[in-house]
Amino acid sequence: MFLRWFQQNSWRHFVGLFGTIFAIFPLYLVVLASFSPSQSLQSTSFIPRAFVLDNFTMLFTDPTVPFLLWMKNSALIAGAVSLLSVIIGAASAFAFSRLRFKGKRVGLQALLLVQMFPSVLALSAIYVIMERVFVFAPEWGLGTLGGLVLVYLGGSMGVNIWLMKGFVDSIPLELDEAAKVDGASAMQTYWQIFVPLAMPILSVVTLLSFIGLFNEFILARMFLPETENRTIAVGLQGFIGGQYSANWGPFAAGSLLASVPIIIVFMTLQRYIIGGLTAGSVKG
Amino acid sequence: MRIFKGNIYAVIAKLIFVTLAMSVLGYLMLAAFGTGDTNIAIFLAVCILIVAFAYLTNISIPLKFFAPGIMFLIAFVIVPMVFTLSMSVFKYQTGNMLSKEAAVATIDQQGVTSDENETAYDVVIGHYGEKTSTIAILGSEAVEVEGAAPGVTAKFDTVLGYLDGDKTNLAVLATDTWGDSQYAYFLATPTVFTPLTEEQVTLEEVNYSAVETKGFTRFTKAELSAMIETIPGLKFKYETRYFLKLGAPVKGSFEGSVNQSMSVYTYFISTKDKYRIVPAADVVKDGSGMAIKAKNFTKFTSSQIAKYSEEIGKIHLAYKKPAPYFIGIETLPSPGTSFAYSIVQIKNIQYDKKADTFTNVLSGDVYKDDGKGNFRNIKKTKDYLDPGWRQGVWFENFASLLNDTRIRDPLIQVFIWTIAFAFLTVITQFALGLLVAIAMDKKIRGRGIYRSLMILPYAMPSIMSILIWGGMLDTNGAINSLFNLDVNWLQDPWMAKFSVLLVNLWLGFPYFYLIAAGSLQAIPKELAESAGIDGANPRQIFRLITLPLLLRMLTPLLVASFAFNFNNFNIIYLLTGGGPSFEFGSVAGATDILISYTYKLAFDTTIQNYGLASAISVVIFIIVAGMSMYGIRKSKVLDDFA
Repeated sequence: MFLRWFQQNSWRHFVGLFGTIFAIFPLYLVVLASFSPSQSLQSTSFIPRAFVLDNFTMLFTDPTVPFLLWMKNSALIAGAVSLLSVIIGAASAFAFSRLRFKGKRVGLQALLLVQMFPSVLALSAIYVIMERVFVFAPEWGLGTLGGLVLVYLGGSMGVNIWLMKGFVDSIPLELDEAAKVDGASAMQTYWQIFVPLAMPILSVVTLLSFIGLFNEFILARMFLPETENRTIAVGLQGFIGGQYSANWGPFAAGSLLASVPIIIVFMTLQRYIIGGLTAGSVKG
Repeated sequence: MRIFKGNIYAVIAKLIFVTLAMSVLGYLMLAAFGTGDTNIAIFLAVCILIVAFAYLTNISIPLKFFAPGIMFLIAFVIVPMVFTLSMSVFKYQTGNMLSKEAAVATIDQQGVTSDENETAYDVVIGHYGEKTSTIAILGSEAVEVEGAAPGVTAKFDTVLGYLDGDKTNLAVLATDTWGDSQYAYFLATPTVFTPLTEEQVTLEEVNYSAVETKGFTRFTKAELSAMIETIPGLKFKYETRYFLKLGAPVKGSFEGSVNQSMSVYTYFISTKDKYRIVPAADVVKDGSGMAIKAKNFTKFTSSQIAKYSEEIGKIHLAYKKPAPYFIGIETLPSPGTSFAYSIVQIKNIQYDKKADTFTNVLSGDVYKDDGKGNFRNIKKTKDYLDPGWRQGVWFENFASLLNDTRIRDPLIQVFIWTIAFAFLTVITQFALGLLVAIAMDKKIRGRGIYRSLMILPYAMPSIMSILIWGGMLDTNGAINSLFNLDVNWLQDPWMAKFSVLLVNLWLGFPYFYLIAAGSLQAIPKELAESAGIDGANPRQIFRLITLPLLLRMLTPLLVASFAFNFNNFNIIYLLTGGGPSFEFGSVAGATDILISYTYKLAFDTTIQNYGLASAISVVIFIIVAGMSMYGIRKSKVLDDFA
């Protein structure tokens, strides 16, 4: 009886255990480091020797480390960009999916091409443009949160339109045809049929793009050099700034605090997120 | 029956939004015009037109949906992209960053050198005449004048010779024949004055003047006649402030008289076009005799200096010698003082606008536009003027990717690793993800827990996890210390490659697990069941039914993942920085992929080469776009729109 169970299931448990250990090993070390009094990641034991909250208190009390401000910046930027880009992108995705017009195929292909261009390579051009914008509109130029939001918005447009078009394609066409028969204009179909139907999908895309923006590093580092303007990713990276094992305690504590909300949201909504991941690219 | 009707609130809301958008855009447009950013202003004007066209007319309904997205896409993606791509046909690197006009202006401004004597003056800055814009300086030039020392009438009988047998070490031995001074005898060199007593010298018998002393050798008559012309210019130290000059020779000795040198100031006012000598009577002097005020000259207040500071820094004021000499102001007066520091300079590099050449007026060298972004010496071709400018060089950057071994060899290695990295990443991530998915494709005990823990790496912000892995893999990091290893995870070329793949596997396998799990669910169970009935074992079912179906479903995702990892900048840049370098000082390293290499070429080295980086960008773009197009064609996404 047991032997049979073992034959059938043991390898599954073996794989599961292996995968789990592989997955959580670094995360366990981060937790360990964040509660450890030592400043390095050089732990010699899997079992914690001491348990202190110094690293956490430092994040909230040290005036040179505006941790909460960084979190707020990241939340503001990622929040604003993900919301706006979905609002703007959904309209374009709808048009690409549902409306008939000249040049649609060319437009789609152009969008796909543009989206392929790695934004890291266009850094210098973006820098030059935003430097000029700063001269005439200081709130929206280089070094401002507003400016970074604009740049991110532009950058996320291609991917988001493309992703959402995939979703929109999966919404049955019959619904808008019925609306059309009932005399709805394109705008009315969009607002009264499409938007309510697509709400769950749009939320998922918002969330995905929020997480993606939370992870953005290079543009944010170049764009916001001032300490109080940094995003959480750039701010925390400053702790270890290139040479590892410098200030791992606060870094680990900060990463933990910054990641927990994201992980919770992700875990709660994983069913929808995973559906979203596949729907954009896989058809049928 | 029409169910959908126009709604008055919707119309009002639309109008409010459109007005708001247009007024914000309009405001920005005017501001951009105001600061001279015409290109941006024109773009904003076009945006306003598009908004008006799209939302206030019914000409194009799709445009209503596209307008905002398109505007953002153009401003922040297409324009930078076109700019970047177009840079690939330019020589655009450190030293060649400016436009040609700016480069000419900079060379022209920097093309000065100080004059032969490095003349410098302390000057007062002000204006000449009534107009404050006629910037002028009031300067005092010290002139050394020699004259008889006041109150010292003594004349000495001297003989000229040298010390210690060294004929260049001139000295005079002097005798106070008339007893006018306190020194009966002394020995003087140009810098040292030594009084002597009668015991130390040997006297000549006729007129009792000293002719010998210890270490002193008198010049012979022949030697003296050979140097007769230089004698009037000689100066020998007398006491501390004065010096002795020699008069005409009388029977082999000279009459020595005591002189002093004084600095006497002459005064001048210099403007851009004229250098004026000012008589001493027209100036007011300070305690040291330097002019602080003068007729027709008004000193600037500190606020006036601040106002004109930029102009003052650049101004070329006339000098007493004609152009190319001029006076430039080096430093403004520090607070509380009157004098600025100015130096006489020569405009040695001069631009000939017609011929488009620079000439060095001192050496006569001519520098010509070499067609490659620099003014180059037409004779000595290694010599060129700095800075250069962005010069269109057509496909030279692309050619250098193929021809220049210093660029080509690392690029080939980087390219091979890029492909290997992306390919191995996809394979390992997919393999582990699929294995886990198959293992979890049965309701075993604890599946929920396994699942939640295994997708943690995917839920965690990747930027944090990459940095943490970096710390763990450090030679002093957790992995080496926990397992008591001494492995150079990130600095050894092969271990670094392995580490990058390992970390990327960790980051990506949960994604493929989730995807594969979903796809496994979507495969109808009947297929496997009927195959089982037909006598297939589980392995055959997997190999012949499940895997082909999965692959077919997931090919587009695998291609997308390949394309993503082809440009996976973060993991490389944050984990290894592309290192370790191929050799000391080289930009490319063992784990560099094309995009991180390109980024480092453009931003991370001392010689930033945008032109070359752009050329590589074009290549990357073509490869990735080609791959994606192929992937999309294959999955037939675009077929619906044919």
